[in-house]
Amino acid sequence: MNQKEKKILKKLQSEFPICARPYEKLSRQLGMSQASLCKKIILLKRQGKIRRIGAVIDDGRMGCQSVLIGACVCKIFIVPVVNFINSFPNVTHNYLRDDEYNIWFTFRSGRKKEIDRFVSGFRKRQGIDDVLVLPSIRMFKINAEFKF
Amino acid sequence: MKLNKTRKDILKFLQGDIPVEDSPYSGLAQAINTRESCIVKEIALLKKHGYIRRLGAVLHHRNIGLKVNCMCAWKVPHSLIKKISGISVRQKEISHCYLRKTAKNWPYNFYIMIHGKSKRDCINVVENIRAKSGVADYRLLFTKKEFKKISPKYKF
Repeated sequence: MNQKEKKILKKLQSEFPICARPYEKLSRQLGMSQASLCKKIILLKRQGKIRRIGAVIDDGRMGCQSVLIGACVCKIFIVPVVNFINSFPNVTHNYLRDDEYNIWFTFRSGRKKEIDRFVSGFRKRQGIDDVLVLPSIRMFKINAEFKF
Repeated sequence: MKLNKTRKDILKFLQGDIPVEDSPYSGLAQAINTRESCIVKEIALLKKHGYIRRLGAVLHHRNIGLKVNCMCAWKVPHSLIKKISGISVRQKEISHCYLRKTAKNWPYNFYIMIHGKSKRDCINVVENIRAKSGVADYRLLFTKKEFKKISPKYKF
């Protein structure tokens, strides 16, 4: 990534202006034309560097809670277990990790009951040796803004 | 501040992708029969009242050079939580930091997510926290594969 790209990404993630014509304002700040800025942004999206441009909505403010779940899944059952987990829209991310507890994901819902129901069903799936259910007590930091 | 119909429509729009064009809110303004200036005012309010944590680009860390990601789970005595969390939130490589309940066979209560260019980068962050906090009991869980990563969608 070159310096220009980094500068654009930095602005876009940390200083996206709240106004009717945000790209026009950004292009002025960056000292380039709006047309070339937009072209560059579209390219950065196509390259998968920008996932989207939008709002990160606060879970707690929306009455949503989430639990971190770690599971010890037998190697030959990873595919069906992962497919099962990913089929829930409540799951926004799911990772294979380098540990005896190899599958890690979060499950979010506005209703505690829905979380409990999921967990009790999940524990019974084939190929799962143990499940850790780890609700958060306190959040100290969420900041998916990346420093360049 | 309550979420009325207009505010819900705006959030619904913003949890997707803001179009890359001269007046990205004009289509929305037309659709919900309001002015762009009103939408801008409401976005500022939603941000001020904490519904919107951040407005802007959501980047894909793997594609911007931060290829190695790691979760580190720590076993921290109650008396050191304040210290270790204070140290952790200041580290720029750390995106998430939580205190969580423990579970059977799992004594870890403090969690950080680290993003780095290399494994060494991530380990350095952990070493630094260990040295400064004095907490030595931790478990490193490097990401081997990403099965799913999407932005949450709320129903409005």
